[in-house]
Amino acid sequence: MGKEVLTLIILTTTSLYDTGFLDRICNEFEKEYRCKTKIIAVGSGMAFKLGKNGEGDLLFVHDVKGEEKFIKEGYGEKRYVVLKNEFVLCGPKEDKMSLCNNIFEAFKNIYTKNLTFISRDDLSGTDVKEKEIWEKINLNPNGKKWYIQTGNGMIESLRIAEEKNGYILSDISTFLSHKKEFKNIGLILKDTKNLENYYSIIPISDKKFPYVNSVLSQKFIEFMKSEKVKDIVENFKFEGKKIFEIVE
Amino acid sequence: MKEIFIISIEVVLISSLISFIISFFISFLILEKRLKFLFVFFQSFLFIPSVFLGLLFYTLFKRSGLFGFLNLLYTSKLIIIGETFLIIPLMVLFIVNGIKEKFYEIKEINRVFGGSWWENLVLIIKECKQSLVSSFIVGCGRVIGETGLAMIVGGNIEGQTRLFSTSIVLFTMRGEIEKGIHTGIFLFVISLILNFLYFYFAKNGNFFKEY
Amino acid sequence: MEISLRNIEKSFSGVAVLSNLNLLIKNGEILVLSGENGSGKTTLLRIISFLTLPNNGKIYYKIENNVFEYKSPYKPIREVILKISYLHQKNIILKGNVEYNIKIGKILRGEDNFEDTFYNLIERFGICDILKKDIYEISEGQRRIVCLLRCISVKYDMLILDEPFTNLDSNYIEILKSFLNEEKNKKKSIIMATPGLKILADLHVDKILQLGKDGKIN
Repeated sequence: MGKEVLTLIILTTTSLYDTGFLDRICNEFEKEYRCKTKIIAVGSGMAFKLGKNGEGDLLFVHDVKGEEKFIKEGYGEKRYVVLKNEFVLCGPKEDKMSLCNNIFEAFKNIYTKNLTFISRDDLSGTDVKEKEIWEKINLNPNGKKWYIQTGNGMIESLRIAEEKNGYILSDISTFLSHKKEFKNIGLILKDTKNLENYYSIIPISDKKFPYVNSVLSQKFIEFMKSEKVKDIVENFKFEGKKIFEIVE
Repeated sequence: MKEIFIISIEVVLISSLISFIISFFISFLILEKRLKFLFVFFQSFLFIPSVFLGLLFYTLFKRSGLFGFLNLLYTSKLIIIGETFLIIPLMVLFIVNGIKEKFYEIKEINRVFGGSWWENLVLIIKECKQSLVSSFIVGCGRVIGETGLAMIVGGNIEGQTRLFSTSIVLFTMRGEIEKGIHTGIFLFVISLILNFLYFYFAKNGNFFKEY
Repeated sequence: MEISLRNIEKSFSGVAVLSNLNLLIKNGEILVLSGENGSGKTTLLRIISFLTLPNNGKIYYKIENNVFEYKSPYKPIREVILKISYLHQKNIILKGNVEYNIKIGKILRGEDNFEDTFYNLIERFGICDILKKDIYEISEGQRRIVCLLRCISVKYDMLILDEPFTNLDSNYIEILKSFLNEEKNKKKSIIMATPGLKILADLHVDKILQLGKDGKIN
């Protein structure tokens, strides 16, 4: 009678995965619970779609509205907020945007001065947040010449911002982990209050998809509160700065 | 939007055309001077991963790169240049194999009767029209569905470098599967139409005529 | 035009096809190369007509009082080329109709005049009724005649024919033979290769070269 190794399938977004953070967490998880993990990192939009098709055991994403909709439609039961980091505004190093008090001012400035702005337009968590800000200040940049919509991932869009000397909203982890690539753009504005970024885990409903591994999903959520993970989060730094924070 | 249509058609036609002219010249050289090593050289690049070529172009054309001053990165012009290079090995393979036999026959006739190099060239093009057109279409087909290079070098920017192929990538990222499939089918139908058009015109040359 | 070959040697992949070949061809001669398949007939014909370079040896062409030496196939001597017409062993056909396939010879030569002599020749060989037919719609034998006509419709001093009689029926064979005899009387030289000698009856042959393992036996 052989011992079957269980596999936990995690549907996540590229911004969480690209930094290598999730890999570290999963390595420890595999060791501790003697199982395997499979990380499927796609855009947030796709992650939700896969979740609705029951293609994984849990979602690990950062899009509050999408998550709430997911639960409302019955694909998941509860969301567990486990991590926090922030978005930052990046842009041309020689700029004056840092004089703004908050992100809303900065966006208004960009709009009125027709400054080049790079948007991802891929329904990712970052993209959704960016669109929220435009909504809040009641401005619509769509169709403006300076508003460039790439259909690309975070790091590619950052590279486009670098090339075109434009502003872009990015999650801090992706930017810091690739910082040495960028000569033209740098971190312009931090607005921790308004640019909070929460990562939540939603186990996929086993009522809709009986074959999902809900036991293992729960274990993973517990694991996120463990000392091991606290350790990893403490030590996961770029340029001496801690990227993620545990949410109690 | 239908900017995607215009940009895609531009990219496909221009890169295939330029690549065809270059490949024809190279093939001519290979056949005329019997340069087998040159043929093998180009064949070895046949399966170069398009993402690798894309990466190469990215490194060369980014602002801090060798050709950065040209400001070509993330423009459709650079996609055209990249695709042109990408399909040269393919086109050379098809052209050389397609016109090999007729090339030497015509060369003989031309030698015996003493025609000029220009008459030689015209005869070759006339005799091998079918092979040449099909090589061109093969090139088009390769470009129209290519995403690796187009994404890296173009950035999939709406209204500037978003092609049919790269928009499918975006639809997939966003989870909009149906849109992706619709676009894919549309692309496929276009290539089918291209093929039918080609065969309709080639009928005047009769596919099975020689047998 | 006279052609003189001295000490011609030609090998392919190390195997000697022709060695120590000496030959003199004068005006108004019909010379026949005979021998088994693979004995080097085509090779010799090609060397004479400037299409292939021998490994060793010298070839001299004498036109009126000028003597030209064959140096390189990449720099063909135009005066010599214009004096020779060559028929390939294989039918080389181009897309188009019969008339075009015949005319292309003169067109490439730059002889743009398609007068009575041209059409008389076509009529003599009985091709008139298929002139407008597509080249792919006629038989292999008819194609042979087409290639032959292409070859003989241009101006030449020397006619070099590689197995001209293949695929021809007896009717055409007679027409061709009487044509060649006439050409000989006009002081044109004819060199041809045939696999067998039976076909040469009624042809005013001057010399027969039997190509064996190497050189020749007369």
